[in-house]
This record gives sequence, C-alpha cells and structure tokens, in this order.
Amino acid sequence: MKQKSLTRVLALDLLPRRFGYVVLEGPERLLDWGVRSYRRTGKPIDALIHRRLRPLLELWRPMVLVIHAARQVPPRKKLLRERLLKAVVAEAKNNRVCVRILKSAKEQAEKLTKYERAREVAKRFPVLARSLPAKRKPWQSEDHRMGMFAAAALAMAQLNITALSAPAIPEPLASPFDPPRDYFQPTKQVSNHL
Amino acid sequence: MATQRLPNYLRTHRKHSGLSQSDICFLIRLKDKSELSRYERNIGQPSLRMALACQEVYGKPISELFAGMSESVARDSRNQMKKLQTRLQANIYPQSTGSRIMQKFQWISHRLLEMPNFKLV
Repeated sequence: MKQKSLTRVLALDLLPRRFGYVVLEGPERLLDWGVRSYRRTGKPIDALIHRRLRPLLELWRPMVLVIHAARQVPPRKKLLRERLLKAVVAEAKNNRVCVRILKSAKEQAEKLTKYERAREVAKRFPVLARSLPAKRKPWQSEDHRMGMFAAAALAMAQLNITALSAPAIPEPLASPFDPPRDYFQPTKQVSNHL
Repeated sequence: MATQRLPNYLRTHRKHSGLSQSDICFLIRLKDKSELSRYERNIGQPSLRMALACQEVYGKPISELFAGMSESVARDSRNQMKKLQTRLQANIYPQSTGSRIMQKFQWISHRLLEMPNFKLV
C-alpha cells in the first residue's frame, strides 16, 4: 500500500481581536475549523498569538500557514495589522511552519461577494453549512463566523480546490441512525457533460 | 510536500459529528471532559477500553482514529520483527530443517512479506 502524501494547511482570516481558522489535510479532509477571539483587557496581539494561535500550531502541526494579503486598510488600522502579521509570521517560524500570504486576485476576477464565497465553501464542505450565517442586511455588522469561511476559501485557494456543484445543505437522511454520506469526505464534483 | 499523520483524529471526528466533549464523555463513560480534551490534544494516551469505545461511537477503526500512533507502532513492530529475523537467521544451520528456529524464521519471514510497507533491504 503506497502512503499518500499529505499537506496540512492552516488558513487564517486575521482581524485585530479575533481570527477565523480552518485546518485542511490534503484537498479533501477538513480537520478543524472555528473562530478564536480575545476580548479581555491587555495586549490583544500577544494574547491572540500566545493563547489562541500557538495551541493550534502545536496541535495540528501544519506544514503551511496561509494568510490573506492585507486589503486596503485605513492608516489607523494599518499599523495594528502589520504588527499582528509580523507576530503571526514570527510565531509560525518558531514552529517551523512555512507562511504563505495569498492575494485576492482570483476573487476579484470572479467578482464574488464574501457571502457567495462562503456559500461555495459550504458546498465544498457540507459540514460547515450549519455554521453559515444568514446573508447580512446592509445595516447589520458581519457575523463573526464569516471569518471561518474566509479562512476556508483561502485554504481552498492554496490547495487549488475548485468550487463544485453539490448542494450546500446535505440531503435528508433515509434513517436517523444512518451516518451521513458526506460524513468525512466532501462531495465529489459532478461533471455535466457525460 | 508531505507531512506525517497526526497521532490522533479524535477532535476532527467529534467536530464532524457535531457532538460536544460532554456528549462524547457520556457516550464513552469518561468522568471528566478534561480527560477527553487531553487525549484530543495528544497529552497522554487513552486506555484500550476508551480507544475501543471511540471506535464504536465514531464508527471508524482505531487505526484511523489514532492514525499517527498506529503508523509509528506498526513501524516499530516491523523493525523488531526484522531484528528477530536476522537473529534467527544467524542461528539456522543446514541440518536444522523442521526445527523450532526454522519454524519461527519461516513464520516471521512470511509475516514480513505480507506487510504492506515491507521493503527488502
């Protein structure tokens, strides 16, 4: 039996006081996902790195850490973001993890909104569909779980995973005792031209 | 780029099931969820009873739940078998056909050939 090569990727969607994360092992295996935040007093960057990111790096031992390239941020927040990025990169190097900073060229080419991208992620990994928040209204602030989907989109970009045409929400089960078909594996891409 | 499997995938399977640590503790009869958390974080190794209970709950074989650990144990066992094989080979004489040593040697050689990742050195 030939052993498959695995690339474990940790993708982060960084914000000053929280980050969404996703861990993928190869293009098909979603290991972990969630949002980690620090809202107490003190230095949020130190706390985010030492108390939230470090345990993730130690637990999952990723090979690559993927971060989104800085978007256009106001000058007031730019310094904070740069400091956070530096701290993340330093922590990753301490754990011997490669860091990749991805630009959003593909997203801009496809002209997808953040919510549409999140829906694509949910299609690819139906287990995330239950965490997909409702589309926000213009007067509402963004749901914190969207960070998780942004991170998943980054991981997919890193592993060159294309979007698929499977339903976002898995089909109802025949029996409540049967395990779901897509329990561990994401749905396969369906070819339309047979 | 290739990485080694993780010692265990308990957290992954639990998150896919949507169950909490307390739920799993109830199912596998663990008193404290901190114990499960320790196992999920690879701090300490679970008992055989707990491993079997996890296999039953998640419906996945132990070798998949504890993939990294399983691989390292398999590798170690293979190395030990190879060592024993060489040791036995040194004690085999031409007139010892049908002896106990020959029987052991044949059995170990057969087992090593059956193993999936066996390499002839």
